Amino acid sequence: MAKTDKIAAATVLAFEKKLVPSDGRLYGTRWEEGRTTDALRRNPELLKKYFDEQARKPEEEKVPLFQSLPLKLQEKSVRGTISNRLKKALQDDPAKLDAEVEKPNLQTVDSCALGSEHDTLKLSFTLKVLSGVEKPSACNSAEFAASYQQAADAYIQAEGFKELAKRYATNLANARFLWRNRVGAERIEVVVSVRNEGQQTAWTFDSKAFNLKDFDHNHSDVAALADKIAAALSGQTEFLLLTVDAYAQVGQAQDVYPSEELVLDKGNSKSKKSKILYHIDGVAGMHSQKIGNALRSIDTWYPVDEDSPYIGPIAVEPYGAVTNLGKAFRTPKAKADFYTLFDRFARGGELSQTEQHYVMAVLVRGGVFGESGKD
Amino acid sequence: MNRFLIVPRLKVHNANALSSPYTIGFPAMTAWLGGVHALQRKLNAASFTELRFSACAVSCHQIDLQTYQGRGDYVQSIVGTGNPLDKTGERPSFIEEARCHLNVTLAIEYQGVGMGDTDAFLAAVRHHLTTMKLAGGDILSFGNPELLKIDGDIEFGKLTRKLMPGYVLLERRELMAEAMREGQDAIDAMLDYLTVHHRSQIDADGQVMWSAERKTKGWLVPIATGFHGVGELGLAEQQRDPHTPHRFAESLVTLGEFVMPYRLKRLDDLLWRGRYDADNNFYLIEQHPRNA
Repeated sequence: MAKTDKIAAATVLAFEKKLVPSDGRLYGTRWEEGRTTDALRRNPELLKKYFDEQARKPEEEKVPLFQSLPLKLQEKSVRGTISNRLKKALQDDPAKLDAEVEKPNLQTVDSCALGSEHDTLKLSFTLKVLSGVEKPSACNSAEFAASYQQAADAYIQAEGFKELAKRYATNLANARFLWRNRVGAERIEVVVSVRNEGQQTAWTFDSKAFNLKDFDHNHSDVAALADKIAAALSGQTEFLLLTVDAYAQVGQAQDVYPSEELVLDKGNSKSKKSKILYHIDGVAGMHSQKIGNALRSIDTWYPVDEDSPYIGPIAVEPYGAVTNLGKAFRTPKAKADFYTLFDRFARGGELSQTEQHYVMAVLVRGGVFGESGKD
Repeated sequence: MNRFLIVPRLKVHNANALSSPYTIGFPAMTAWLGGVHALQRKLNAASFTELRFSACAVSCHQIDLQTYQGRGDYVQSIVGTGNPLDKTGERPSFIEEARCHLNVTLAIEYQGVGMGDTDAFLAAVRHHLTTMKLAGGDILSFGNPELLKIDGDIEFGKLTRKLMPGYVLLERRELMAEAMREGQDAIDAMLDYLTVHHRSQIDADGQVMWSAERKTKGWLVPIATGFHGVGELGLAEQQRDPHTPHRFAESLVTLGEFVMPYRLKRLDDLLWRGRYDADNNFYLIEQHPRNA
């Protein structure tokens, strides 16, 4: 094995993401009609047959094909209550306390809900899977690139992205990308269809049947989908294009949860909104980044101790960061962060199998990983 | 005879919306020609060694700039993205980057593909485009690429029909040149064309009439059209590519105008070409190369 410190550092080093999701669009639909008509639309032969049948029917018996409706954002203005913790001085003075609590707390927020005739949320997006993880998109050290490529090729030879692909496929099947919309849904179904030319395959998954805490299962359809993903990631096929339609039966007129927008400067006008939701040309949407984060929530290999117990799969991130916990699970102190492992991996050092999975998963995620040239 | 490769309805997601060092909006022409050149290099490497993409036009059907303007706000603010936490679990500082979603049609003038190779050529274009990024954004989908042969300006309409409905950029450098000949500073000249002047007039009955207008008509925007090398060519420390000489450069910014393609009459008004001016160290992307 090569000496680790002999190979020049790459100060410019970047990888493009290999899982490219689009924004998700939110639609309202009905559980039975929505799923059956979408299945019809996915199959050109059946659709043609359906229209032929319709054409033969007399005018008054014709029924239009059921259509899911794009969800719109609504603006709500509510009179809230003061319910935050108050200062000690205020709590002890009943008069001041009353005055404080009686203040109206006016808020304007965006919200999004199903229509009263709809009981099911439909989320649709496309996913592109690309190969070429063995080539950095930018690297200024030829020596480092060669050494890294050797390691990556060896990984692809040995593993063929099988384990990672199984986990990505599972995260499609279990509808983790629905995030909060997944909570409390009565039934969830995900349909994944291949959109590459000349390949019309589709799988239907019952998402509730999957355990979100691990990836131990032998589901044959997930395995078939994983094979396609693995083939694309390892370069056996040129690329893979998937369409994903998820149906979550959440109940009539229930609230659904699109992405929230990050607007730092909301202006100083009095009617400013405290919550701004994402839309694409008026259709409520989920950010592609948020879908990507769910798909790469496959890291179950992070170090576990008393302070940071096992909490199920976390998103693949260089420091194992979980935003809603405000916590990094892979710290440089524990020598489990990406940079420590990657430096060893790329320079011909030894890594355990799970460490290799993790390093390759971060590279599939993409990012800028150059070293500082100062030290 | 001009041969074109048309890539219709190309959807780009989260593209870089820095259209010049000072402004945000439609991505800079340098980004588009850079992407087209990258595609050419990929095709050159894959058996189309003679292929040259000599010029290109971008027709924008739709742009969705990621900004937000609340009710009563005077300015729009950039919609940001949250970055992953750092190693201590703290939120890193926000980086304001302007992004946009686009739907465009590319018309690329090409040479060096034999008549018999057209099917293989289109298949290769489809394949390489799928795996590329453009203007910093992800390519989500595009319509079937096609080839179009037109006879110069005579059959120009055949090409512009493919680009409708949409807007293409027209270089309006002459406006800047004119203003600067009259003694204006470059940035003053540009701002002069972009400023909206509100004027009041009192008519005979004492009624006040307000009017708002710009210096000239048209949808004028500042655009970046290349780079001016300000240092010597040479090796820089930690440079991106160890085999290519580097130099410091600054952006060239001038005026452009968005027009519907059917208004144009000549190919030269539509197409953008790259040119290296060795005497003045200019790396230019421009129209009307004959007059330059």
